[in-house]
Amino acid sequence: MSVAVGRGVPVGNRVGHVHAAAAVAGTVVLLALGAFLTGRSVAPPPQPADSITTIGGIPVAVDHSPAGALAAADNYVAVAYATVERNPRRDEQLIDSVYAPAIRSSALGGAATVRNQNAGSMALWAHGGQNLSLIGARRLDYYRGDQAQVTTWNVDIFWGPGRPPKQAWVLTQTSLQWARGRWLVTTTATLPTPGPVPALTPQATAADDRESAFNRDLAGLSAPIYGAAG
Amino acid sequence: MRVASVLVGALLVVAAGALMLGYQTAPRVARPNPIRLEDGVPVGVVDTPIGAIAAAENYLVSEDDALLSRTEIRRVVDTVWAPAERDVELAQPFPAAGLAGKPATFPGLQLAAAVAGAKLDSYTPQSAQVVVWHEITLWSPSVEPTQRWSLDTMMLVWDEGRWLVASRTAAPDSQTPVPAWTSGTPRDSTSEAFDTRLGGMSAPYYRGVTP
Repeated sequence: MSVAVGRGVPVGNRVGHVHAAAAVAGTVVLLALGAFLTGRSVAPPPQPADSITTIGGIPVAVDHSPAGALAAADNYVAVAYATVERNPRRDEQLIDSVYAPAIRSSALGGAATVRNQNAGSMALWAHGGQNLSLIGARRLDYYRGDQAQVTTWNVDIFWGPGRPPKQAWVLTQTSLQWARGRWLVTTTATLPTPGPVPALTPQATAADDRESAFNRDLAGLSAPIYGAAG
Repeated sequence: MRVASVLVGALLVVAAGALMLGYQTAPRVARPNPIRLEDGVPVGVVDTPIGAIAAAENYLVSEDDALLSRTEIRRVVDTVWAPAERDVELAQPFPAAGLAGKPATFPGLQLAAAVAGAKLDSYTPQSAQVVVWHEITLWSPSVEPTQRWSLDTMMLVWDEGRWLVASRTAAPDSQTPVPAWTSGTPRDSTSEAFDTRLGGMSAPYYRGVTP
């Protein structure tokens, strides 16, 4: 007695169909995988990540490299000089964000002292004074993995009612430590000798002594954020 | 025959879909660096308003920094200027010639350039216009450190994954702010002070403006 299998399809044929289906499925999988990998390979290579992120408007250096340390010092120094007198709230934000916890209290105290000792400048800011801080150049003094030191040549340019626009150049030395995924300031000091000062400005005219010219021509300009080339 | 055609068609659809999926899911960085170095020249490679500002800032300072060498300036211009405008830019006079009637070059001449501020005048994904206020300081053993300030309007075009300079226009001196009063003493304004205190320093890279 024989038992019918399936619907009258010979066993040999059914096995053949299964093999064929498996072959097709395998081909589809291989083809899809190959196409997927080809798609990956022809896509543009990922761009390097940014070395700077902003937290509450404060540029924070997040690249653990020599270039990242330089970008950290560039930004931290520029923001510190721009805000210590004119925008104490933002200076506090900077200290909270990128100064090592051990020096935050002394940094806040130092900033308050600067403001208390510069009544003339504080009056300028109170009456609508403007400023822009910029980095002229900088040097990586050393880089030891989690620690770095940078010397910066920087200037604060300020003007306002009754004060002709002026440049104040200094040299600033900043020590940094890598911690919690960012560069933190461990010490910062304005070097005792002033920065080299480019005092000749032959293109200047009498109009450049007036704040109105600066307010008009520089309306809407913001200080740069500094980075590192990828 | 018909079954085979359908099968081949289905395979092509699967392959095309997988290809697209692979392309779309290729690793990307959430916050790409707006600047990439090419042959030592920073190139703006992010098509956003901030990316355009970063490009303009770096292009101006790179060109300023290269002014002392004909080879260097050509390298910068060839990298960041639109091809049709390169010869025009290279024909510009050396800016130092404008310094108090001095000749264009001096033995031992050194230079430092920096951006003081910038703003975006206009932006579309194809083009942008950026205003940059920047300065150059020149000095040599025989030339006292001297500044030149510029207020430049730069037009950029987005081309094949990068910003290229299409034009650059400098405001006349009468409309360029120059902070003529400076700090320090005469000793700080000597070429020796510059050589001694700025040894080994380099210009920073820029990535936009403070929000």
